[in-house]
Amino acid sequence: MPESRLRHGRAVAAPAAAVLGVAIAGIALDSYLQYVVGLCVVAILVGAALVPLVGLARIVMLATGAMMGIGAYASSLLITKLGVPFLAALAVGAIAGAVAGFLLGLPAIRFRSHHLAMVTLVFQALGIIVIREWKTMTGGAEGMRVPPVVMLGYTFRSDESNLVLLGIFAAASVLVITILVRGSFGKVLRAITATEVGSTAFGVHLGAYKVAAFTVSCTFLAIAGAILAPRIRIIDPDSFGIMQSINALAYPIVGGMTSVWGGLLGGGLLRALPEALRAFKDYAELIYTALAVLIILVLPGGLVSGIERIAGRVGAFREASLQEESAALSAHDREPTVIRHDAAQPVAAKPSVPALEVLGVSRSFGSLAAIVDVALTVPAGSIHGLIGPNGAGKTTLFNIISGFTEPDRGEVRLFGAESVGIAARSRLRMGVARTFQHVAIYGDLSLLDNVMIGLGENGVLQTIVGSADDALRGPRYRRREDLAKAALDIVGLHARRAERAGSLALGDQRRLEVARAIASRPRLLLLDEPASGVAIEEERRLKDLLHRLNAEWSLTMLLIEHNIRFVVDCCVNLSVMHQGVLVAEGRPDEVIARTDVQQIYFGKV
Amino acid sequence: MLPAMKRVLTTIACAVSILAGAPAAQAQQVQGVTDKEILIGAFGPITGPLSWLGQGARDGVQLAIDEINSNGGINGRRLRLEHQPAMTPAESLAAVKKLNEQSKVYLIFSAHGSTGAEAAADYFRESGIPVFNSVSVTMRLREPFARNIFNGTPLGVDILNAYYVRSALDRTPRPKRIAVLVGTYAFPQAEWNAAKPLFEKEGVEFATVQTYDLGDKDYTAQLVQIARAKPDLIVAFGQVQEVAIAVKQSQERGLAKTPWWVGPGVVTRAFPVVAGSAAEGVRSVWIVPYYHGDKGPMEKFEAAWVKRFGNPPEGRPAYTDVFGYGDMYILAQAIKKSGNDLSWPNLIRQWESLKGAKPSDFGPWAADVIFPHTYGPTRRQGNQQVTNILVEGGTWKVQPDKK
Amino acid sequence: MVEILDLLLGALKIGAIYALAASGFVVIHKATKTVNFAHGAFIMLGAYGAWATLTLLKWPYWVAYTAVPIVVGALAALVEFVILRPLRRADLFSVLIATVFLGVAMMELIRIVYEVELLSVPSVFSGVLAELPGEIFLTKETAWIGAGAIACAVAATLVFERLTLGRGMKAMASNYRGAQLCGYSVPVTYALAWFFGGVLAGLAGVFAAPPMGINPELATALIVPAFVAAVIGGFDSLKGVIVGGIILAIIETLAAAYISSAAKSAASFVLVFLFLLIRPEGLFTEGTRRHA
Repeated sequence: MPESRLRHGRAVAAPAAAVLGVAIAGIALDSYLQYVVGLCVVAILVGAALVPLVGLARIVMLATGAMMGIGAYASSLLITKLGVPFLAALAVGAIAGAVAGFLLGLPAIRFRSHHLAMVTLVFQALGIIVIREWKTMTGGAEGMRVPPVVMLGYTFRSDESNLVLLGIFAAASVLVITILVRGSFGKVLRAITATEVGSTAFGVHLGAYKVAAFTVSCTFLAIAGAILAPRIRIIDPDSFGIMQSINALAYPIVGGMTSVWGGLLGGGLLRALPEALRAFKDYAELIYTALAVLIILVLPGGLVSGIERIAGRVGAFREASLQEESAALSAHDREPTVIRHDAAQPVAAKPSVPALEVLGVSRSFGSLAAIVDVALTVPAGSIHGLIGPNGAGKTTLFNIISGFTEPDRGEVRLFGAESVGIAARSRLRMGVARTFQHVAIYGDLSLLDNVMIGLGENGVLQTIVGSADDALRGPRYRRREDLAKAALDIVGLHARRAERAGSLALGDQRRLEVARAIASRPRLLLLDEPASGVAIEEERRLKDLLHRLNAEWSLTMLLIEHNIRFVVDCCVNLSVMHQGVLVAEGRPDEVIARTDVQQIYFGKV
Repeated sequence: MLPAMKRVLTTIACAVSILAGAPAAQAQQVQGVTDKEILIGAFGPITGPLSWLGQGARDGVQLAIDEINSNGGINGRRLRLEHQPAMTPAESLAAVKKLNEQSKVYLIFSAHGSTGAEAAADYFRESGIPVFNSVSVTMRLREPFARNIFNGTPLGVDILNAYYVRSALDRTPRPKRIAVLVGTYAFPQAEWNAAKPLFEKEGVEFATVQTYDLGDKDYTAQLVQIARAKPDLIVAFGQVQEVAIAVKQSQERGLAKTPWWVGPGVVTRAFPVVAGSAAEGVRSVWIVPYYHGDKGPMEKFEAAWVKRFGNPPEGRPAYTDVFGYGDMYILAQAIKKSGNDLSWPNLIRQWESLKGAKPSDFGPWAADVIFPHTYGPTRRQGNQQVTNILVEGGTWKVQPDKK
Repeated sequence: MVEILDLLLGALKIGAIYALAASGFVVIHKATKTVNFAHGAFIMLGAYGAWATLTLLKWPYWVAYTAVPIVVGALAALVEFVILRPLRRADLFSVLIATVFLGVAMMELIRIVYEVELLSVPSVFSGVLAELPGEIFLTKETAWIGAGAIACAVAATLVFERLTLGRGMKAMASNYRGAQLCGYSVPVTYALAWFFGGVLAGLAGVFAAPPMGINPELATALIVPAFVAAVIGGFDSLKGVIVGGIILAIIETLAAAYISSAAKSAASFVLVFLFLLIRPEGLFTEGTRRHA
């Protein structure tokens, strides 16, 4: 579909084009305004750079000033002391920013919320102290002079030439940022913010992404600092202090956190504000911060969301092309009858190896024995049910099998391979996928994106490189898109694939979870109360779906359920747990007829 | 896609239209000058920790301008002041560009100290617009020599520091070991860097050098180290917010008998109030002949200030008010002498011809609150006089001898 | 060593102020799970309030110590009710950012209202209380602030623990639906928590005003130590932050004395970082909640 590719390509290039446009439009203005527009262009870059970290990963980043300072001082020192040409110095500055971001990201893995904010503040404060105290190199508090940019023998002295230069570098950077934010990298970041367990289950390394978000953002912050320095000609530690960090934090918040446009809008507007308010300079900082508070309270999505609302098009800035496609196709709503065999995953080679073996597993939480010595075997290709009253230990067992908890004792084997001690995120690669009792979908992403993440291949480097492929709708993207569409088709949500997942009703959300879980053609599917909260019609369709998947793909399933009727109809084998112990196992109708099982549920008969 | 792009451009357009409100001055071949009016530009910090400094300079200049205007202006032209707020280097550059290129002022009063003034220095040299530095001691405005940059009452850090050293060591017995307390931020660092070699040349030994940060409230550690070093004199560089607290706390740390010398940034009314009894006998230098509240010209100046601006907030009028006021009158004389040829070269020529100029030379109503200024073809430092000042009876008093 | 004693006395005064500053901060967090980055600004208001009472209105000190904290407390409750209420159920991120900007806005507002670089108030008690061997002077001010601020912080601990109010606040923080079912009202509890926190902030400001001087920078000067003390002491432990504040002041002073003044500012940051790495729940934990 070349037309949608073009449209998507335009959407990706648009923010960068806007930045360049602003810079070029500024040429028509007088010298003072050219200077101001230049500063705004840098602020726009800062706003965009903060989107992955502040907007997508929801991290309160207070080290922006120090990161810009690192880029500014590193590149300026190379130019003044070693005579390094500007482009090379800029590149080194960017690398310095990347390294600094990486170093800041590492401890950040362990912390969240206000502790994480504190860690960034520590970095900010210590960074400025180092710059200030290292007087021999940086000139200390009195600052350092920075010469104008010299490239290819031309000295960029005039305001015009500087503006063009800033515009080009900022636009190039914004282009890269847009590719990452709109591509699979940005989508995984959004997924993590929506649900951490829901992301981990599909191969996402939470810590690695946090570090990556820091590294990416800080690289571009350093670039912003490095191109700013020759414009203002004197840099001092104060220019990169905590107030700059706080002011920069306002850019994505006021502009709109989750799209690059938000960063652009916030950065440009807020940087222009003090200049526009020169007459009211006394009140400028007050207005600035009051505006930020107001936007947080009244318009949490920032100005971009306000604009979206006014324009009446929710999600207009994202996936516009997909929406139009979906509208065209909804006329051809199909009943999901065919299950595709396109996926490459082969069926388990040795049918004699059980899909799941749980051997002597126990787990206590403090003095509470959640599971005691449970053994369970699920043969390949079977559908196995697990029931029991609340507190029986079912969810704990599930979490142990899917890797979210470790047992105190015992073994768990998946298709013969020992799985205890292997991280939860690796389960997908082992062919194990799951759904969640409390639906763990990525609310802000489209259905299609939800399922595409379910396909796996979500390592940090894979998604970063993959984002470039996404931008051009290249072969990798199209292959994955087809697989995801197929999965959605199976559960009957293909027509709605461009909709926002959070807008679905609960029953549809559960179907989406199933689609996501089966997208990668797993060998074992774990379902945690899949029929909970759904109407009887849905129940029937779900049961049919599970049977079909089991029949056509030989997909082994283990499900927890409270809905006895559903479990009896669906499962080949049934296990009953009570107070951490396996009490009964066998064919469903036999098991529920047992008096001890009935006693557990209904009391003494 | 499109709406957002439009929005960014609209924002810039809005900003432009707000900013373009300043009236374009009609050129009588000279920017900023019309038949009726001369537009004077100024920039400096009026918010943030240095707000008192920038506001003082601005208000001092404004007061002088109002007095001049109510006495017929200069050769039939009224003066008008346009002040642009600026704190950081980036803002300072923006401010002077706006003044020169958009508002097209006749000349610029640099009412900024520290890094702000330095950032503008290059621009001043490149553009050639006449500049009157009324606040900063930085050498970047003085070296290399620039025909269009004049320095009024504040001295360059090189000359000033020689006075610092002389003043600090001017006691009997002469101090041999001194302890230094210096702020880590730009302005006191500049003072210390210039003073240090001069102290060394005088054969003084540094018992210890302690630093503090802008905004520090507790000096226990520094004062304990200083007490341990047993100096003959403590020299402190910085501004009153920090040094006053340090001096006050020194009493508790066994330094009650050790004398202090402080940099002139500390000489404000807040100092004796905050430092209390510890302030008695603390000495510094002062670069105008009178301190606030003194009888004579200062009294006259302060009465005029109150009449124009109302009840002063604490600490005002400060020394920058005095500088701005006095320096504006010197400038007024240069403009007056230029007669009808207000071209920049002529202004500069007339300015250079001023010798021993006092505010009252312009008009008898002007208060002579600054030392006389002398300029010349290669001399751009108007004031070169410094006096000693010390705290006596809870307030600063200028010492009659001049050094 | 005599010198260390001298340093510790100075640290005691500052540490007491840190402890009191952190107490209000922790009270608000215990009851509402909000990390109030605007807390330093409330302390600043307390200091300005002290100046207004003593210098403008020329009322005696005991009025400052009673009236100002109540006014600041009321202001804090008002801020919570009017500005932060929409955020009560919002995610931690939004609340955190909102308080950061709120704090700066308050600082700027004060800067506009009072344009002076530094205001001062006289000490409550001036002069020397006792001279210790080695020419160390224990001033009355150090004794007053050291004892007084810590006494207030301890009193706050007792009030919070003993009164039903305190229990209600803890319950609400733990599970607000459950607390509601038990009859505790969310708006009232939150408002009271912020009032209580504001009172402590106001008190800290009045104590801090004479030794530290009064200017807007007081807000930023005290928010970081309050946070650090809370990390050291344990974010939900009122007893802990008293210890945390004192430990922080001692480390800062020793670092400044024996390394350099740059080390002083670095010390608090390095300290908080080390604690976050090694013992994020702080020295004293209440309950089994871990913060990381």
